[in-house]
Amino acid sequence: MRARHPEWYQSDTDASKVKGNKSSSSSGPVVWPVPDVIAGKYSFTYNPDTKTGHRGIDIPGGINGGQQVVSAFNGVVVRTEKLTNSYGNFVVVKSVIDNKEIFVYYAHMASFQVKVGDQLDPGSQIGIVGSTGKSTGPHLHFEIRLDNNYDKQINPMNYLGGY
Amino acid sequence: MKIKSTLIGFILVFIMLFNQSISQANNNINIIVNYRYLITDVNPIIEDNYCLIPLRALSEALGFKVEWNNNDQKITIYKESDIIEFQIGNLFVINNGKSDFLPIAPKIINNRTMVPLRYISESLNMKVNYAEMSEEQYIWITDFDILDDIDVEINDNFFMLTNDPAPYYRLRDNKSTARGIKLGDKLSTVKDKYGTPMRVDEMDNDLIRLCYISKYMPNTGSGSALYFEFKDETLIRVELDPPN
Repeated sequence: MRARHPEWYQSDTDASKVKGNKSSSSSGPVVWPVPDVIAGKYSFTYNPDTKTGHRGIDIPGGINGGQQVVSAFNGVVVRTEKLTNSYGNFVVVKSVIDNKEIFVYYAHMASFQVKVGDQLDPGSQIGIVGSTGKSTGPHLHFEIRLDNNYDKQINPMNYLGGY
Repeated sequence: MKIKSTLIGFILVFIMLFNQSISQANNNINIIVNYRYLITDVNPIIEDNYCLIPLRALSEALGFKVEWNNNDQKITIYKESDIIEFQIGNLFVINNGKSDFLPIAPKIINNRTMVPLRYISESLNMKVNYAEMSEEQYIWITDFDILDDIDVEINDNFFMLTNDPAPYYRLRDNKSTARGIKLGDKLSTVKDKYGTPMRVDEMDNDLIRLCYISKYMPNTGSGSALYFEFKDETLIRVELDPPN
């Protein structure tokens, strides 16, 4: 049985950080995926051994959502889906960082404006924060998988260095 | 003189310690009204297992009007056809013309009128749920019913339909849910057992889907959803969507 704990979702936002500022990693520029929402220290709680915890971070979009979702990294769109459950409207972008392929999930969006094959720069618009799928209000579920395997999530904050 | 000041110092330290323990016991009460956190200027408190909450915050969240009579400290709450009348320091209440008793008396703290959260919310047809998680207290005031943990337990009655993009489960054809619902049951039977759903979806092919959720936090993928799908009012599918 999977435990459900609120700390899966808690964020410790640091309001002193300026929203939307560009940062960079060893592989180039990085942009916070929801520039209108203050960047911060979001806790990633997934434990690959027990397969429990939250496999991404949830960036809240307030009561109404509608904020822009942008690509955090350089990459190519490899998948777009519209589900009425689970991740709702989501987009997967493949990037190469530190010579490793990563798959970046942008989930629960109200809508998206990219298609498979689109090349994205850091900051390229992907869609709009929403509450599609299984969601309790507008937020962006931002998740990174090392290969495209459901059990291989890694801490997104490690790749959003500087935020 | 020295004895006196020592005594005063002692009392001050005692008061400080006492105050601190009160605020520590109560500073982690999170109140969620439907899909948002309720922020109050004075912290809610829990006494004898009952939560007292600032009247103004509750009235704004639930949309009721308040009439305050300063002479006898009587408060009247109006919402649509509901009228609730009570008094500071008094357990007696008149709820839609009927005499009743509050579980805890309203009181004034830091110039804020504090009223019993559950009694008033439930009188105005809201559902109230409580949980203690990760050393924090959570209270949900919702206009829909919230599932119990056992309702969303992933057991052998469910099989994993897919793990793409996330694990997702379906009730086996010959099994029933924790509350005894099985395929073929009527929509009214499901509502009798599970109450008011969080949401009703009209799906393709004339399917109707009732969506229920377990305890959750706003603006997240927390909580497990239980979906009941109906064709012509008859249950054809039950699916379980875990936290994501």
